[in-house]
Amino acid sequence: MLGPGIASYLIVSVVLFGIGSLGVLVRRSPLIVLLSLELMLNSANLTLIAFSRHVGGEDGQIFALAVMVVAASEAVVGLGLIVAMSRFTVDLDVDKLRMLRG
Amino acid sequence: MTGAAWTALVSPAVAVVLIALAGERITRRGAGFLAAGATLVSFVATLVVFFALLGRDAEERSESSTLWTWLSAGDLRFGFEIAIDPLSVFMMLVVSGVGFLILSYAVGYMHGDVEERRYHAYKALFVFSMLLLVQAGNLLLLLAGWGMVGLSSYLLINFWHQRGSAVRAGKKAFIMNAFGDATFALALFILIAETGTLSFAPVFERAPEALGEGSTLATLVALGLLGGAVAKSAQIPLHTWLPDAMEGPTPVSALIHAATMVTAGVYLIARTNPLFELAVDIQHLAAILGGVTIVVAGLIALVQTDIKRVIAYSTMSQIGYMFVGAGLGAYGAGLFHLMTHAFFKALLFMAAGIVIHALAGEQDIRKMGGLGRELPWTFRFMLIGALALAAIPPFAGFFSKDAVLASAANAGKLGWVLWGLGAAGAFLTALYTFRMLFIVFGRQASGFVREHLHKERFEGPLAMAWPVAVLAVLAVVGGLLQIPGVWHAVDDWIHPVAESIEEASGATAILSALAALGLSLAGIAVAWILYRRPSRAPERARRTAPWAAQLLENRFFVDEAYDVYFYEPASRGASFLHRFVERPVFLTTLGDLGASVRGGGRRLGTAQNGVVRSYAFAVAAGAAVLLVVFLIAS
Amino acid sequence: MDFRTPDIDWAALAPVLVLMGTSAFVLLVGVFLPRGARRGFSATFTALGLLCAAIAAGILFAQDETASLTLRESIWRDRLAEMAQILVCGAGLLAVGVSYWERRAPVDDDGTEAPADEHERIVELYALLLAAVGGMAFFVQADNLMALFLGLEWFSIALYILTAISVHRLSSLEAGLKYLIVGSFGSAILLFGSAFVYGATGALEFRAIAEASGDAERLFLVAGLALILVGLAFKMSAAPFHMWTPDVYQGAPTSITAFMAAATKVAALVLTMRVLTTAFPGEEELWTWGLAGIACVSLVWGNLAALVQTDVKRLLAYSSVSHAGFLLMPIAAGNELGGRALLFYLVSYAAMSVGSFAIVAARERELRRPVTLENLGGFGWERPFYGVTMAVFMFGFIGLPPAGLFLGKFYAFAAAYERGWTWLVIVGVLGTVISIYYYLGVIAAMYMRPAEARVAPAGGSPPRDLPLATTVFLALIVTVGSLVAADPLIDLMRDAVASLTFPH
Repeated sequence: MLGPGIASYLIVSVVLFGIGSLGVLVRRSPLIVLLSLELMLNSANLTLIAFSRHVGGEDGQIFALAVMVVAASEAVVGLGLIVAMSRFTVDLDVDKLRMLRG
Repeated sequence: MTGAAWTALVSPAVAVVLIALAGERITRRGAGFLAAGATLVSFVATLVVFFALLGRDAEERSESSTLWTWLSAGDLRFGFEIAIDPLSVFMMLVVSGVGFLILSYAVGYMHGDVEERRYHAYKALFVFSMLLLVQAGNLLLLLAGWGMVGLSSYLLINFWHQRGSAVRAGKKAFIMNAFGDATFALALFILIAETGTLSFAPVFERAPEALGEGSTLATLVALGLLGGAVAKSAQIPLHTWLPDAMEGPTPVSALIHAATMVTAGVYLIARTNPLFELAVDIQHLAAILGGVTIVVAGLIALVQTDIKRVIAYSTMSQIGYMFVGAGLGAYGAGLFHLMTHAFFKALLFMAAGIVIHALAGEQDIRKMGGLGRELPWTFRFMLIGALALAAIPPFAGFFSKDAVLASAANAGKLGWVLWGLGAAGAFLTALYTFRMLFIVFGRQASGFVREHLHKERFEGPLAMAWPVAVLAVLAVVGGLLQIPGVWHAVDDWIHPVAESIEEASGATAILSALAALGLSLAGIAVAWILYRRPSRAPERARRTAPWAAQLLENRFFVDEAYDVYFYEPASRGASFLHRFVERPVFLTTLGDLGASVRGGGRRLGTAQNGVVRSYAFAVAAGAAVLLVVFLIAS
Repeated sequence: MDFRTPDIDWAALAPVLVLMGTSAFVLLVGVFLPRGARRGFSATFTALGLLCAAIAAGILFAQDETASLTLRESIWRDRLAEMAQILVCGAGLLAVGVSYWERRAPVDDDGTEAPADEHERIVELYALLLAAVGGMAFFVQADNLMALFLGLEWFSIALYILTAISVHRLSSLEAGLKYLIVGSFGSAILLFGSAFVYGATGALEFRAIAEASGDAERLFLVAGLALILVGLAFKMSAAPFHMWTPDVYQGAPTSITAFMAAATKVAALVLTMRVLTTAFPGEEELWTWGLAGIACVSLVWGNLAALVQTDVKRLLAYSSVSHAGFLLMPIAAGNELGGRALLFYLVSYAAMSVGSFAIVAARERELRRPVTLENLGGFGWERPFYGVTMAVFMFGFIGLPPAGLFLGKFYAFAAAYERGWTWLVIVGVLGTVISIYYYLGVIAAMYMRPAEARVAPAGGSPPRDLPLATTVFLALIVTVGSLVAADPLIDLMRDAVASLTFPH
């Protein structure tokens, strides 16, 4: 098999996943949070494709394609919500969304 | 036929739901007609079942129908199961037939009450519960019906919840009945443990082997069942709730506290007769309690001044006869008396209701008098009821009471003792019944009557008059169903379920009947002498034996004794527990504990700070913990 | 390249297809109708679609003696899935009744009256509701990690939008965005876990995973299992993955909350049971203990936090967290009794959830403001039917008759006991004891608050709301009926879990 081994791919994808989750945990702009979520999904995609090549089946690749669709729809809904919220005069800051708590 | 039996059971329940759901969309009267109509449906369905059974051989008349199994645990199965057999059909006929008449009467009686709909819904609920009780195919369902009649009785007694006395009476009835329910339930636990089922046929089949004849367990089971029966049927010593229950509207007293519910104890003994026959001592105890109740209740009734209470004590006393019958194994006689009693006692209550209605709610007989001229038809109805109650031939009570006494005469020494009590009861019954009759309808019209009597056409609304008339007819002819020594329709009918002992025959039977009749006539004669017109004789009797008057007027001090022996120790114990256990342990310690638990909740609330990032963090942290734990564990 | 179309068992897909077809129909036709006709049209067809789907699932349930697979072995046609489909369709059906008049008296965060636009986004609401039910119906059939993930996202995305559908209200949008962020986070974790499991076993299909797990890379397999569990626990709102639940339940329109509380739990729990018993029977030591731990945390956290709530929707949300704990107990027990217990529990639990939120909605529509324990005062006397029914539901949540949950809880405890986990039963009982306090608190608020504390309904007597009342009545019937018809129901549930093999 050409190219780097499975381990390299996995390391990259775990790092990506970590970056993505950190992004969700520390960033306050909802746009960046959505971006980070995409990163997490795509790191999973990378894992799937890497494993797919490793185990020699096509299932993982099909799965990755489907995940892309899901990721896109999630992003659409998220952006739509952000746009709807912008009608209220609120800052683009997820930490300010604290009406519901307790 | 099974369909008809289920229809009979379900129809009143449907009426309850409809009335509850319809709210103000149906008129008050409409609710009454709905309840009565549903009961009529039950009655017709019961007739269908009855004739279907009649067409079969006597031995093939028992079957059961299970809608579905409710719970199963191992071999133990509880189903929605009804018994269709002569005994249940007999009771269904009484409950739905008399019930229909009384519910129709109630439409007129309750007319104009603000909460009429609630009343009719409760009433239909009661009919459903009672039918459930008599139709139940296993003891668990019977217990459910047993509890539900207690509940609906409670609801109806304190129907006029603005009256403090009604609320207290309701509570009293509920608590005393709950006592009986508890012993009943305990008996069922023993049965489950020993026989592994509660369905009638298998229980009765396995009981002799599992419990053993005359064993302690059999005694305990019978005692538990008897406790339930005594409480529900207001027999000594659990009888004090019944007179107080007269706080409810009069049709309630007629239906629940005369015709149907209070006779459930007799039904229970007849139904579970195979269990009682395993513990004959307890069965005899039932008869003895019944015998004592006959006399004690009859004595107390002599001095009551409230028209409904007189009838209530008479009910206790008459149920005593049924207990004597059932306790001695003369189930047919007991049930026969149950049926005729339902007729004439409902009649008496409803006629009394007309009197009360005409006098704008007055119930004190000392204020009445001379009503015979004002309410001639009511007087005639009441007279029929009184003659039936006092067991004068050819009225219904004569034949049924005589059946009980004739059976007692054939039951050995104990039987003769009970016969004696019953005969004394016959005298007392005639005496107190005609005392009431003479005071209320005879004599001169009192000032109170002249002032308050308001007559309507028919002496009351038509809705109230016709059921009374029907019952009067039944009270006249109902007794011909079974004539001791001649034919035994009731005995033969319930024979497949409960086999009765033989009655005394020949000379003994005739003597017994004549003696009882003589005593009844004597009672009427004494009443005539003492109460025909206001006389000093009762006053003089009171002065010569003040202790006796005290004893009777205070109803043998049973309530007071219960206060001293049960209520006060319990209340003292409760205040002791409150002071030394509840306050230090629960209110302080547990209170602190509760406060700290709430504190914990509040702290968790702080964690829920509304920041979405922290929620994601909780997920991530949880995931990390789970991941690490799993990796280490594997 | 050799290309073959897979054999498709269309009957197995019938409920999902009916739901999605109706959804598309309602959405496409609804926009062409005049505004006034939209509500009646979309609600009627939504109800019909849900009913047809439920009937289809019922017919399949009656037919399918044995389980079978279709769509290249990616979805099941078995009684477990069909029973779950009936339940989610039922929850959806009840939600239609709750939502019907919701827009007539919109609730605003601060009590100011929002403009009542009865027809606003009503078509979208029903189309999305159908889509969410369709997603759940697909989700519970999954036999493949991809189908699992797609089904999960399918109904989740629909729910995100439904949560935020009251766009005039900031709290609804806030709830929607929070749900989306945390939900996607959870899904991503689940997806990552799925990828690990795929890597370890080379398979996506559940039974293939179970077969390959013997000589799989343990590290990946176990890590994947843990992450999948997190994703599923998130959906069933088990602590500590539940923190979105109170906020979302409070912010979402009450009809949607009612639907979510019932249907999401059914779908997530049924699928959790399926995936764990089918794909990971070899790792049962791990997941049974893991779930037992999560159950304990949920019981403690949910019940404690519920104690101090004043907002009724929030209180019920925490109650739903604690019930996730109760519902996990039978799965954790890992025996057949547990499987039956879970499904039986879910029947009355789902009905009671929808019913109790529906009653909250009734109060909300009178007051036009969020319902708190404070302004619930006197409700029991003003609206006797709702009051009594709510009391039945609250007693039921505690686990008392006349609700079927009484037996459901008993069976759940019995399952844990059969496994030999008396300690778990004790935790459950303690949780129940704590819960009595706040459930009775709701009843006390309805009946025992003095009349002075009452907030008068806005604008005289509330308008009649027949769909809502019918919904509450149906929920009551199911709640009580599941106790009355306990044994037949349990027999059905036995058939439903017959296709699963339990480790214990």
